[in-house]
Amino acid sequence: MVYLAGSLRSRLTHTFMVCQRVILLVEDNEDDVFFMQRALQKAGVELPLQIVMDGQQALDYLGGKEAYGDRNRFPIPRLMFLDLKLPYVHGFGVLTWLRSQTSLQNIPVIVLTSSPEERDRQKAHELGAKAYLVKPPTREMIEEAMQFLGCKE
Amino acid sequence: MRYLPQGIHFHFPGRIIPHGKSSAPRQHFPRREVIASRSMETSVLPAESYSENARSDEGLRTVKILPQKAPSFDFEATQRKRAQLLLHELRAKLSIAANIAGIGMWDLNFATKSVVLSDTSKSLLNREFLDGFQYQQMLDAFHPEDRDAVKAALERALATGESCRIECRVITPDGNLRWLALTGRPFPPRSLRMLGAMQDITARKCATEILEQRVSERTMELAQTVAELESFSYSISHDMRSPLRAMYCYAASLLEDYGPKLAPEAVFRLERIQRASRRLDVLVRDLLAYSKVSNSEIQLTPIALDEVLEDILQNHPELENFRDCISIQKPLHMVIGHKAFLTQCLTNLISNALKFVAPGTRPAVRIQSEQAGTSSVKVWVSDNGIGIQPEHYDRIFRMFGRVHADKQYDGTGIGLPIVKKAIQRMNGEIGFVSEAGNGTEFWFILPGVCDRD
Repeated sequence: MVYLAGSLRSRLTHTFMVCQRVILLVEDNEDDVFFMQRALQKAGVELPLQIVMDGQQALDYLGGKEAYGDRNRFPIPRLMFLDLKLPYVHGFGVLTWLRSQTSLQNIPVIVLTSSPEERDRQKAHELGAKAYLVKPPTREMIEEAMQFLGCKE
Repeated sequence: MRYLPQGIHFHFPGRIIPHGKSSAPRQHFPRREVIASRSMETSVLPAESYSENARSDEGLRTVKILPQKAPSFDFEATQRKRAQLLLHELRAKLSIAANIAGIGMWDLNFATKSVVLSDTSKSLLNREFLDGFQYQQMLDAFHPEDRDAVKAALERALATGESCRIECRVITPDGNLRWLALTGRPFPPRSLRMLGAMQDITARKCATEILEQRVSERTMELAQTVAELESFSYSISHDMRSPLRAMYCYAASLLEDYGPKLAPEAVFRLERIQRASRRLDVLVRDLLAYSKVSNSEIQLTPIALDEVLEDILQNHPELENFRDCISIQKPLHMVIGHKAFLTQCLTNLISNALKFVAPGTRPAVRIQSEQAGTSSVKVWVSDNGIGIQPEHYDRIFRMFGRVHADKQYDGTGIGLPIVKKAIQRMNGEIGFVSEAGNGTEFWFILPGVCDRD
């Protein structure tokens, strides 16, 4: 799937040699970040990981605001893993905002959470999340997710 | 001895003239002293019944009996007067009683549309009425919103001949509301006349209102507390499970990444870390489940037990291996309950049944249901396990009332309390039949779905 216009992408690749295809991980817990990184590595995912640690930062990153204005260093992600229990802005808030942004609507989001509640899964589905992953993430889960989304490394 | 009847008794030789005969025949009376017993109750023959020219056996004598100081009255008049005095006394008593009780009385004539009110009624209705005023004026004394209701109640009573009672309001001069209880009944029956009473019930009405307000405040507080408890337990469990997960996963990752390089003792200790953190995680999860079962708001609806069991068998991978051990006698009855609670109950009972078997024995669990009484269903979960000793009968439903050591049979001691609480919240009962070494049959009774056909 292509998220940026072809000409823009080639220009960026050409000029800055930065891979636009990053995975954005929105997670406030350091341990969970570690385990996510480990699972991605074990699953052989080579895309670089951008990490933001609260809901507001996630909105800033996606909107290119504040510290994240530089799209070269902070490109629009290819895929997002979104925790629900976040400081400042809840994961559902980020999802809702994302749906309202035409340029960002196509980013696949996998909700990554410790909540096994059916009602949370339901809500995530309603808000457009592509998958719902109950922690802790394992290699198998990442592999399945990648297959499901048709992501190429 | 002969008792004399009440009255004046004249002493005449050989003759006693009975009293009460107002038209006594003319008699001959000797001149004698008249001995009369004087009392207010005495009736005396009227003067004109005495003959001036009385004759007696001893010769003619003239006897003139003048009415003495005792008043002259006839018997009927006396009775009438007596009745009047009694009535006066009764009226006074009633009036005093009514005044003390604050009860006003009224007398309504539907034919003439006029009404007579007692003083208390006048002050209750808050009007200075002249006597003989109109029915409509009385109605106008009530609160405008209540007038029609009062009118309807009075007219209904008149039509049916039954008494009526209605609570209505009056606006006092200083603008406050006064509540009255108005009662009345046609009297005589089937006539156009109604007698009734009215009483001030403002204090009672106020007290009721205050009480109702307090009840609704408390209910709101309770609902709030329940909601807070729910979110509290939700976040507690989440916040507790997060570090537990970390502990477990770090140990797991160490074993995975460094296992081959580690000494067996190191491996063993890491595995113990995993085990302890997993155990605490299960405990937290069970406590959360218990808290949910105790506090969450639920609606009770008809549930098909067959479906619930199908879901359980499908969604619990750990039961995969035991599917052939579980036999369900279909079709199971429908019950009135809550699906999540029932799922929790049956899951716990089934997993207990599969767990508590003698070593080396293949568990066998049977689930069936039957009608109990006219509108209840009894569900049985029976096993071939180790049974329960009589001395433990009252422990097993208690929180952490586990009987066995962890080594023998794993468990948190929360499973059965959850089942009991859930059944209770669905207005049911739970119990069991067991013999040590010979299996256990758990049963629970829930309201059933009424057969409409």
